[in-house]
Amino acid sequence: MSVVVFFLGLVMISLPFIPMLMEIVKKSDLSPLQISNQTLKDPRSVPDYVFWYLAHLLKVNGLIELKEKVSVSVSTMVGDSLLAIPAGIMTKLDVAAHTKVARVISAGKIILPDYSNHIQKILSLDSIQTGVENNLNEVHAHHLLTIGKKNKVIWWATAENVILQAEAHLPGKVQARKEIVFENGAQFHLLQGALIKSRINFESGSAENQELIKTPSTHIPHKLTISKNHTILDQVVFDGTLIVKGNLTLGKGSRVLGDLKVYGKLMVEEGAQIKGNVFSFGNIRFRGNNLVGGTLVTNRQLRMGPCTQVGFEDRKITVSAKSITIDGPFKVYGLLRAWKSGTITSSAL
Amino acid sequence: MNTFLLILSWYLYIFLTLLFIYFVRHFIFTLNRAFRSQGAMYLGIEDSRLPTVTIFVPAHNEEKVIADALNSLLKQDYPAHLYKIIPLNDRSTDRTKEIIDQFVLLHPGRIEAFHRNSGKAGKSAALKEACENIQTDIIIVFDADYIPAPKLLLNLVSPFVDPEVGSVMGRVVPLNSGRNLLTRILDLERSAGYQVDQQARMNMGLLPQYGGTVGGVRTQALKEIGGWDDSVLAEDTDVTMRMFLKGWMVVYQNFCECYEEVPENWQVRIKQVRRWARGHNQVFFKEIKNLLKYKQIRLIDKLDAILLLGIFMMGPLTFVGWGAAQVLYFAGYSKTSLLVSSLGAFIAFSSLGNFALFFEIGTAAFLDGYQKRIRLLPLGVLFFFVSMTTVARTFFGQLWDDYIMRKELTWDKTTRYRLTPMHRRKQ
Repeated sequence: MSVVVFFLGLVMISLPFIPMLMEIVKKSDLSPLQISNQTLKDPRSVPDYVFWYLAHLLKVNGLIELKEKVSVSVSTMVGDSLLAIPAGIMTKLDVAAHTKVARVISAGKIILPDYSNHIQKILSLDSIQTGVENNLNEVHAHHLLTIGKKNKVIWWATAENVILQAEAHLPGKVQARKEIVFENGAQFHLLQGALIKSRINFESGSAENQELIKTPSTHIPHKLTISKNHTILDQVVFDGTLIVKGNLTLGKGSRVLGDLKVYGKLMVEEGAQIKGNVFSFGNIRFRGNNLVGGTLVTNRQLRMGPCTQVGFEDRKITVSAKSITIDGPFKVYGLLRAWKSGTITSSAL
Repeated sequence: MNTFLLILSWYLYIFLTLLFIYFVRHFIFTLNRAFRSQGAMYLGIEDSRLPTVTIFVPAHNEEKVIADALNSLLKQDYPAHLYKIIPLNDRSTDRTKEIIDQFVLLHPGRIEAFHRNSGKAGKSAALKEACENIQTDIIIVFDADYIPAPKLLLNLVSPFVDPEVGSVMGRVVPLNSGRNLLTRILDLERSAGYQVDQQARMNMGLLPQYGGTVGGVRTQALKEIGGWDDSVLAEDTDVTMRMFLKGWMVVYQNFCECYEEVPENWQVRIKQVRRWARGHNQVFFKEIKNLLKYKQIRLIDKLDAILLLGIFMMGPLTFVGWGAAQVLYFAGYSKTSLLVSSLGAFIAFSSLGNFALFFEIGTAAFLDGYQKRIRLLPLGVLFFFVSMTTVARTFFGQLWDDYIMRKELTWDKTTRYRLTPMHRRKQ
C-alpha cells in the first residue's frame, strides 16, 4: 500500500515536469518579449506625405453619391495603410443616412449626414463634417474636423482643428495640431492639442499675473514639507515648492511659485494660482478662475471650475487624472487624459 | 551540549519567522499584481517642461555593443539640444575608445567622450569622477549593452516633474532570451523581478529599487546624498538606500522597457550573482544602522526597505538553518525538528528560490502574455539551488575577504555575446 502511495506521490510531483520537458525539446517560445515604444512614430498614424500621395491619386473630379442602405467595402493598399476608395475616385463625398461604409478617402470635403453611419476609417485631404449620431471608428481630416451632435469617436480622430459640437462621446483619442474646441458638453478619454478649450473665451487672471506664473524661475525654489493638513490663507504668496502630507487648501487669490505635491485632497479656492507642477494622491478641486503653469496629475478625481487655465501657449503640459470633470469654460495647453472617465458638463458652456 | 542545541533551535525558530515574513511579502506582491490595477501615475505625462539630461554609458571593453547603444541614444525622441551623451570609457583595452572617438567626431556637441586611464576601477568610481562637473537637471545611466527605444528617455525623465522624485528606474527585458535554457529561465526571472516585484512595490507605495541602468537620478538629489560612493560594488542599491534615507522617492516605470543581454553560460551567471550579492551585502552593512534609526517614515516602509536590503543575507542564513535542522534531528533534540525542518525547506523553497520563485514568475509570465515559456517553471528548482549556493558562498567569502583579509574589491565585468557591427556585416 505504502509503495503505491509513494509512486502515486511521485507521479503527481513529476506531472509539472512533463510540459517542462516538452518545452525544452520543442523550444516553441524563444522570441524576446515585445517591448513598447520600439518605433519612433506610431505606425498606425497617417503622415502628411500619405495624404499628399493620395491627393495626387485623386486628381480626377467626380462626385460619388451613396444611396441609402448601401454597403461599400472596396480596399486598396497604399503604403503601409490599408485604405479603401468606394468604387471610384472622388473629390466630394456625400454619404446617405444608414449607409455602412468600411473605409473612405476623399480629396475634398466629406459630409456625413445624420444617424448611424458606421465608418471604419475615413480620411479627407480637406475637411470632414459629421451629422447627428454617427459612430466613427477612425476619422482623419487634413484641415477641419467638425464632429456633430451625439457622435461617437470610438478609436481615433485627428485634424488640424477639431470642433466638437454637442454631447460628443469620445472613448478614443482626439488629436489636433492646433485647437480642439468644445461647443457644448462631452465625454472624453484622451485629448491632445496645442490648445484644448471651450467656445467661450476668457482670461484667467490679469496679464501681470499670467506673466508671473509663465516666467520660468531663475532659482531652484526652496522645498517645504508639512506633515499634516494645511491651509494657505487668502492672498498669501508662497515662494517655493510645497509638499503636504495631508490635505491642502489654497485660499482665494493665493499663489504658490514652485511645485505642489499633496498626499491628501487639494482644494484650490477661487483665483488661486500655482506656477509649477501639481501632484496629488487625493482629489483635486479647482473652484474657478485658477491658473496652473505646470503639469497637473492626480491618482483620483479632478474637478475644474469655470475659467480655469492649465499651461500656456509656449508651455505645453499634461493634465492627467482617474476621472476629470470640467464645469465651465476652460483652457488646457497640451494633453488632457482621463484614465477612467472625463466629462465636460454642458450646462456651464 | 544542551545549551548548544537550544541555541540552534532558537536560531531555527527565528530564521523560520524571517522566512515566513519574506514568504508573506512576496505572496502579497504577487496578489497585488494579479488582482489590483497597475499604478502608473506618471504614465500619462507627455508634454511638460523638459529638463536637461546627461546620459552616461559606462563601458569597459564594450567594442561589441557600444556602437548600438550610442546609435539608439542618438535617435531618442527628445530635443537634441536638451541632452548630451557621455560614454564613460573605463580603461578599455579593446576598440571601445576608438569607436567612441569616431562617434564624437561624427556627432560633435551631442556626444562627449570621457576616457579614464587611472583611478579606482569600476562603474561607481567612473560615475563619481564623471559627475563632478555635471550641470544638467537629470542624469540617466544606460549600460553599454542596452538598446533604448526612441521614446524611452522621455518616459524615464517624465516622473521628475514630481518634486519628491529623486530617482527613476525602468524595466529590463532580455534580448537574447531564446539563446539557450539558461537565458530562457533568466528571462522568466527578470519578468518576475520587474513585472511583479518592482511594480507591486510601486503600487503599494513602498520602495522600488533603482537598478543602476535604464534609470536615472535627479542631479540635485544626488548632490544632496553626497554623490556616487566608489567604495561599493552595488552603486544602485547604495543610491536607492541613501535617497530613501534623505526622503527622496524612487519611482519604477514598468512601461519604460529596454532590451539587455543576459548571461548565456553558468559561469558568467554565477559571477553576476556573486557581484550582486556582494554589493548588496556591502550596502546592508553600511546602511542598516541608519535605516533602523530613520524615523520619518511609516513602519511598513521601513520594514520593506530592511527586507529589500537583507534579501541576499537569506542565502547563508538558509544554509545555516538547514545545518541546524539536521544537527537537531540527528541529536534527537526534539520530535518536531523534522517537521520544522521540512516546513523550513518548503517555505525557503517557496519564498526564496531566486527571490521570486513560482508565484511571482507564474504571475509575471501570465501578465507578460508568455504562453509557453511558463512551462519551464519547474526548472526554478535548479535555479534555486545554484543561486542559494552562490549567494551563501559569496557571503562567507566576503566575510573572509573584506573583514578578515581586508582585500580590495574587484569588479567582475559581465561577458557580452553580441557580434561587433563589423562581424555582423561579414555574416
